[in-house]
Amino acid sequence: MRTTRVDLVGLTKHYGSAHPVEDFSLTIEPGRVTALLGPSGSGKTTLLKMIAGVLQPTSGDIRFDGESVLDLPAPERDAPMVFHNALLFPHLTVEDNVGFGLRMRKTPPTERSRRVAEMLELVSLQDLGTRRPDQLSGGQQQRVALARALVIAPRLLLLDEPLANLDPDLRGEMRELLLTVQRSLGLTILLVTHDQEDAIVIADQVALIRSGSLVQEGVPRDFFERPASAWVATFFGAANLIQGERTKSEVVTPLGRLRVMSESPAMGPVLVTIRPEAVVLDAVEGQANTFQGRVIAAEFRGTHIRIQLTAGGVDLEAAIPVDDAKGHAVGDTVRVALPPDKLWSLPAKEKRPLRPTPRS
Amino acid sequence: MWSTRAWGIVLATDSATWKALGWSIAVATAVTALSLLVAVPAGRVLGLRSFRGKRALEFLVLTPLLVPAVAVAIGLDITFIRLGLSGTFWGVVLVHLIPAAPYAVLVLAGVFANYDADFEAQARTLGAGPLSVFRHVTMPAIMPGLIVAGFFAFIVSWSQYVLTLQIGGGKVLTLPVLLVSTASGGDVAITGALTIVYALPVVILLGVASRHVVRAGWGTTGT
Repeated sequence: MRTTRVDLVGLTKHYGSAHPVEDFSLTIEPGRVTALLGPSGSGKTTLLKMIAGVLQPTSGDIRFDGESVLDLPAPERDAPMVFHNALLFPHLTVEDNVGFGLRMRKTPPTERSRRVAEMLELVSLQDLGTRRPDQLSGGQQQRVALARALVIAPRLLLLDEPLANLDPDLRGEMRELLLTVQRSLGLTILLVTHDQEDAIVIADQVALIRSGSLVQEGVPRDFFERPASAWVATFFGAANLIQGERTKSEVVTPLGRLRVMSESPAMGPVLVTIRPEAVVLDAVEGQANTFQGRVIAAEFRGTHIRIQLTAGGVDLEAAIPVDDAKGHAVGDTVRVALPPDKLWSLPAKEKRPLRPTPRS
Repeated sequence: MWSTRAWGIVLATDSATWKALGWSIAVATAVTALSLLVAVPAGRVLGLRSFRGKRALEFLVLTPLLVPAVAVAIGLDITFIRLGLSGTFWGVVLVHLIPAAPYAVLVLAGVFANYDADFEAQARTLGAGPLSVFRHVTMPAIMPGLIVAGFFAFIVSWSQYVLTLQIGGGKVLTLPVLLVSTASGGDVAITGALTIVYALPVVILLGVASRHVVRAGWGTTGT
């Protein structure tokens, strides 16, 4: 299969007064999975459709391997979309659905049926080739849709919420299938999702989009440990956001002076954040960023114990291992440490004004 | 007394029935084809897009059904004479489109209102050009609607009397025109036989089309 590097350059789409995509730039690395993550209505699907060629951008450029494809019509881009509702053609059998793209390319019937059979085997549906789409389960339909896109040896595979309509069991299966297929074929995949779990499990690279603009891009871990803004931190479920005033590597907070990662952005009014797993209870002498706290709640969560703390009028959340020897009970006073290499600061104020974007 | 006398006259190889049947079929077929040609794009826009003045436009599409055909025909006759369309096959076809096309547009607007155009986007990203998209995706999806819309257009044309007489001027002698003149001749048996000849094709068509009325098109259910 061919892999393609995709550059989105200042991509913009306006419909009248609605601006679903605004000045969006991103590089999609060849042979990797990039997730376009964002809440519904953030312009993800509009972006995907522009890359596929079924929507024209208002301005900006889309380049495949450095060459602009704006003048290349959708049928010639070799960038098939897989929609969340599979969109199998109901009047065609599974085989004919999968073979659709080859038929459009006038591939000889013998080669067509060979490649269709290969793809059906890849998605483990070799026995269902003669079925009609309405005789398949939702998960099977989604796999047929995937095979139908793969059979044309795409330069780029565009997935629009491919897991959204699936049961939890099937989601896991489909994720595995996507990863297996991607690895064995070395595909370039752009995946659109509103589900951060899908994004972090499947993708090598995540681009977070909000109101049509890129908010942050990076490896999945970055979004948890180094969020670019309070919105990003909240989107990824950050529990601890502490207000403070930063000078150099120190932030003055109600919890005292806290040292933060020196590479974290923003000066002046900031929010300080730390993952609950990184919060240390029962700090030892000599640890930095320590203070007294009181346990106000402790909940067993199966994989960990979630502890609610209060300190200096600030609520904090910590997650500690289930087999933690000290049974922290409500009312206990503990010595808390926030390790400086896990403490991240981000600007307290949003840089960009919020724009209403009614379309997705 | 029961006899086949009237049938003998109506179905005689040299009777006017066969010619009139030919005219009726030719006119109704042309009207059906042209109605669909207009109704597919018009219904698509009305069904899929939302825009200012859409309600007004929908009403405008309906207006030919609200104005009595005679009123339109008398006015049009003068124009048609000037254009050399009066008394011709195409003149009659054109004037039949006035009551026939709105039905076809309305039916297809309803079909497209429930149509998921993402099916077309899907086909395009898989390599289908505009013609292939229509042939392999749009047409199968709206086929039941096409059949119903075509059936309406055919029936409306088939049953036109006033418009045919006005514009056809007796030269385009379709079945209804023959039927009325036969009925005024006063032979009840012959009129009856002719009525059956007139009604039979419509009954058969209705049987075929009704099976599609109950079955929804696939692109319209959001599978």
